[in-house]
Amino acid sequence: MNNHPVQNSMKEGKWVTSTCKMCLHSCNTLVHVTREGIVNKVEGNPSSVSNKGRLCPKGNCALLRLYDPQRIKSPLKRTNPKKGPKEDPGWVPISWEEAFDIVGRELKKTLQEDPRKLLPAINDFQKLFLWAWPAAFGMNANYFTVVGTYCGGGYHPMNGMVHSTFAAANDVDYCNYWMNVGSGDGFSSHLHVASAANYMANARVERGMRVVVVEPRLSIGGAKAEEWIPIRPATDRQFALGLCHVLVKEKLYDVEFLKKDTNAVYLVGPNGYFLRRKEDNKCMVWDPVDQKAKAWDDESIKDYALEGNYRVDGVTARPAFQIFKDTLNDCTPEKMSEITTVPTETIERIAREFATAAQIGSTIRIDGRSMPFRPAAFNYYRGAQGHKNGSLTNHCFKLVNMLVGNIDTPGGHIGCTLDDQWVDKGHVAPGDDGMLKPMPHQLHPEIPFAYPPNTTHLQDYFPLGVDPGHLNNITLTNPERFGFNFYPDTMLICHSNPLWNMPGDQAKWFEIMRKMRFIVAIDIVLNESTVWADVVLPADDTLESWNMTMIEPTNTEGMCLRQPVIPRLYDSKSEEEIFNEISERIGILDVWNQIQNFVCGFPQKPELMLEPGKKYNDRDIAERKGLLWNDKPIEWYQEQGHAVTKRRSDKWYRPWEGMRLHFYIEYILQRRDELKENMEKADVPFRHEWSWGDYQALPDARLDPVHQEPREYDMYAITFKDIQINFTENLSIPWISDIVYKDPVHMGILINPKAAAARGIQNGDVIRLTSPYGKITGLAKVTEGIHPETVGVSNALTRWVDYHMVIKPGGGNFNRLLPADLRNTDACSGQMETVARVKVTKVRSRPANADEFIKSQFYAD
Amino acid sequence: MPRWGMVFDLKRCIGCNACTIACKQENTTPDRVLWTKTVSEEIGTYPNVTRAYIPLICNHCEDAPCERVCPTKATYTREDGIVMVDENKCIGCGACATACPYKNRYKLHQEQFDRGLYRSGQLTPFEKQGYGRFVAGTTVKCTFCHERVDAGLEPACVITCPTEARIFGDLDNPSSKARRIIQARKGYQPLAQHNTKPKVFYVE
Amino acid sequence: MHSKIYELVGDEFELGYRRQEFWGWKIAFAFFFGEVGAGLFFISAFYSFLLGMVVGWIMVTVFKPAALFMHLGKPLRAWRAIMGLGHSWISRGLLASILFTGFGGIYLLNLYFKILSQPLSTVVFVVAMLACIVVMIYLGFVLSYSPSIPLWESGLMPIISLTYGLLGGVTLVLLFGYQTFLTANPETFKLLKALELGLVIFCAVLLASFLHGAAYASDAGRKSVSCLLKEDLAKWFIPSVILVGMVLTLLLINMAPVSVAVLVAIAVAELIGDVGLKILLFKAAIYQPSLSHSRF
Repeated sequence: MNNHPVQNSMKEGKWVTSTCKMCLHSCNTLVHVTREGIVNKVEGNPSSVSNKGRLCPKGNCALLRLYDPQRIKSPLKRTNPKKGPKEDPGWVPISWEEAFDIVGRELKKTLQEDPRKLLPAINDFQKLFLWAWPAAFGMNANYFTVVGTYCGGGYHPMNGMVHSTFAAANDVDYCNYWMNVGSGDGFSSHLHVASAANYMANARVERGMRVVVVEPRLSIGGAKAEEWIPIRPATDRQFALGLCHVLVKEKLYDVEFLKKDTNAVYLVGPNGYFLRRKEDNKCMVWDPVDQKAKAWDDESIKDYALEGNYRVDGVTARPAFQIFKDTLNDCTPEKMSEITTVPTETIERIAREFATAAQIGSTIRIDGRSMPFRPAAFNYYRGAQGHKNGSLTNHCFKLVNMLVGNIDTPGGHIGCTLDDQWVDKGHVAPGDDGMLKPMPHQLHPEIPFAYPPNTTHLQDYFPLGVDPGHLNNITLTNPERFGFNFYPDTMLICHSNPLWNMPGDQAKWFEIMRKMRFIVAIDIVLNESTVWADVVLPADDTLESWNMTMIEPTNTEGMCLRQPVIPRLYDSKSEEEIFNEISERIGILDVWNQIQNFVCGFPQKPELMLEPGKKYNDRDIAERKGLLWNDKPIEWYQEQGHAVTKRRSDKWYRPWEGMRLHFYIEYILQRRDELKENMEKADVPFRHEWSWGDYQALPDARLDPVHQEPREYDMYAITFKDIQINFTENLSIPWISDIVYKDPVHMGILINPKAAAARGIQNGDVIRLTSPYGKITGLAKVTEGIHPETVGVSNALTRWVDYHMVIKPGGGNFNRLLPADLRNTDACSGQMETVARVKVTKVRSRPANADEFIKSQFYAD
Repeated sequence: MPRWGMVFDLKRCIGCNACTIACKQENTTPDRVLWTKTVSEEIGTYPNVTRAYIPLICNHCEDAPCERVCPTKATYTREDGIVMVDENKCIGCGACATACPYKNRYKLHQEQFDRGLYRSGQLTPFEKQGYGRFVAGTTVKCTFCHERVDAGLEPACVITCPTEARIFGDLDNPSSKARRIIQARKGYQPLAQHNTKPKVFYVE
Repeated sequence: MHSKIYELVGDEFELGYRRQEFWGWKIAFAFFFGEVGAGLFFISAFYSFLLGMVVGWIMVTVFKPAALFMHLGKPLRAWRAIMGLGHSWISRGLLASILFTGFGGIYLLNLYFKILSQPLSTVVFVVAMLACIVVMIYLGFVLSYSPSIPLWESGLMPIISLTYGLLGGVTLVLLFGYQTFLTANPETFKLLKALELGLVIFCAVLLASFLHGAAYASDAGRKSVSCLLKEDLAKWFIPSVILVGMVLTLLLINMAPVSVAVLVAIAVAELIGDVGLKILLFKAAIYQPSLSHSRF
């Protein structure tokens, strides 16, 4: 028999610590390299309290990405001048020198002509500072990709305004009643899924945490939950308002929290702004004991009124809470039931269960600090918030939590920082009138108003929004209408696939791409967008490069090191080297270093700051980020792999103690009026198309426009991801395509048996979804696990490349069904509508070569 | 001598198939060979519907039909209860594969090794370092990661499972976690009516 | 009877019935040659019909291993299959085949060269005939012995194997003997014709009982039967096993005037039914779902 081990982890070799990059988050890993230098096993690092030695299916595939024969092995140059989805680029390998010469020459030309002519699509989440590179490129602020489809155009600004963080999650360590509304947290997607799934499973099984999932589709979470509540798509806000109605009507809210920790008691005048005292401009509250209005910080305040109408200084004013209460008159469970299809009794029961589980009034002692204890929380994400009225919707979800007083509270709904350059509590800051300072811009500083616009996606007009990249579809195909005094001709794509991820008319996207004078792409495999490039620069694989990051972990924190476990397999470079080289050649290296300093937070420890004239590689940046976090040298990180600990409770729980949270977001009105004024002054021609109603200080039950599409589009189409495809491309990895295309929910377009029968559709038939904006074709997968008015399209079915050996095009790109227009864009947050109205028709019964047939339909559509 | 067994906690399993891939990583099994996998079952009709995720693996039966029908004694049971196939004895008749009520065995074909995971005819260095353990034409199956177990480690699918839905342990040891869960939560065996005495249990 | 009948699934991650895929036409032909060859030898032996015995012996000794070698993953190691006599019906069948080849061969040589003494020759004959019976019957044991496939898990399996083996033997003796020893023995010819008729009818009854039993013993068995009679395999099963193998064979035996052509037609029809059944028994073999939340 064999004396040499046959199992990979048992072979002779070494284990190297690293950090996973198979999604954008940062699970800690151990990588096994054989004596011969071959990576043959990637496991979770058991020393991490985040993923605790465990990995999701994607994380288990890291070595196949490294050894992927489809990797770009050297810089490539296009020889076919014709560009198109079906054009063979005619790649020829070139040297780095030649590649940098071309890229440097072309980008320099652009920079000199007008830096705004560059369209960047930079989406490497583990090297977030790269997103800021365009700022070094003459303060370019264009954005040719979209956050709204991935995660949340409305989500991140609202988290920034409520928690002062990028993301948010329920507190899995203490929560006892977890609602997941249009979200896969803890089961299938979003934040640190291997870690979240572990904490979630333990909470459910060991602590008996109850999970309620509200979604049109029976997701993994829905399948595991105590209760799955199917809901009509794009009505999650109305469901939440129904809950709020019951909570308020039945007085199931946390009075003390609302009075002490929020601005719900601030008096609001008839114009929607807080009533301010004339002499010092201070916000006012009503003291019901003394029966008079007082400044919010008046030490004589004996109690705060939450309700009532008061006459103050000659105007009628109401506490913010009373305004919300009045709004809720229109949101009875009966009315919300009609909109959502969730039974009235269910809305009422869930609200009561939620409030009971929240244990309002209870406290807990953690690390010697006594705090409120609210172990019930409403969690949500893309599915629920990704609608035209994204801002209202996100705000409404926060209010469900605020009513029971659980924001940033043990057991409740807690803000999670992104890549944490704020070692201490620096992410929160006091704002005006005792309130927390709203931080809607978590990814980059605000883009100032300008007309003519400086950004192709109109970010100039979203003072509270996150890059509505989908608007490029209308602006770049009709630039006159938007008054541009430049037109972009250069594109830089870095770990991004804009053609795939952006909604809207595909022919228009192709038209925009065709007009580019020069496209440079940086990635490790090609995709639908990068095949349009003129020059492709190969980036190192995760297992060949350095990095230091922590991307929005939930209940843990601490920098995670990525280090090369083997020498580069091919002629690739790190992103740092690539951007440094380009920067140097076009003369912006010094600015780039300054910007990196700012984005990485190095000024907090000035000795870490990058100096002008020097090029810092991936190891240098990683080392500095480690030192910034905990003063540990990179060698320490190489040994440990990470500095991950549970979140420090003083930073995690109520870091804003003493400040008031924004129950009523007056800030939104301020920004609205400022924008209005700017637009008027500059006579912006499209200002009348701006839907100003999207800016509200409190949410209401208005319907999103998707519900008002013509009646013939009688079903809703949604798209979804599961844990195997959570963030980032990986279907070209055989193990992933293996498990994805065998999973029933990813085998075809999900349709309820009743809806199928009504349309003569049988399991496996070829069906077509037609929306007012586009159509896609795929196989029907009949399932009981979906709302009868809804068809579900797995994100796995939306690829259309066929040069990846194991990708199975199927269904067509869901984003083609979606509009890219102002009507369906939240004027406040920039969030786009992610649900489509469609009619569903049978094309034919299943052909023998179903895959080929579906593929042939892609361009036919 | 321990008697190794596994418990699947169906309340925990989320059907992510990290186990499936961890196994492929650990064992370099070729394309289309899945020693473990998790399937789903839709139960009920809308809106009263749910889905169960069910991990499947070689059950390492006490009374293994695969071992019984094997004409060459290539299939054998180790002292610790792990059912193994000796790749040097197996003739690839497939009798074991047809006899396994759980369809948990795979026959290897040369073509799988030639085409590789990317079905391109090019083998990755990972595949090259790992395929040596296999003999085309023979039958293979889960070994409970016997070498890891011999070294005191848990199988690859167990350590990677994000939800800890797989519990590996000594069924003879009254204080092993596996044994305690089976008893506390009334574990049951798959297709128990066949009386193959699986060493794999499920708890709801 | 059952609240839920599953779908047939392939390798997708969905709970359902799964098809047996390890045994197909190659091993079906191996067993076909083994059973028919043994049947031919067995029937021929009663009439000392040398041609039939030789052809039968060749089928078992040459054709069967040839088909098996095509099936095996590692044919050069085939000898190892003898190791499992204590528990494996394949090993036992292999031993029987070897004994049959050896003793049957010696017996045939002895018929020609007359080298053995009478008692010794009787011993050789008895061993060869016993081995012959095992060769005819053991597929039935192989299949019914494993609990995996409800369709196969039937006590009738060995009888079906044996009956088809004998039927094949009678069919071929009729064909090969028609212009040789049967010309002189019209009574034997009639007897064999009657036997053929009886065996076909018996096969029909056996199959009916077998399918009925499978359909009502378990839901997976029911699915198998449904595949054979109604679903995807019906287009093969009904024409080959029932119409050609049984109905046509019966019609030809009863209606047509005897001629070489008719006997060839009978042999072709009956053997198509036989080989068809063997292949379809493998194709229709269906596993139960390993675990079910909604089957019972």
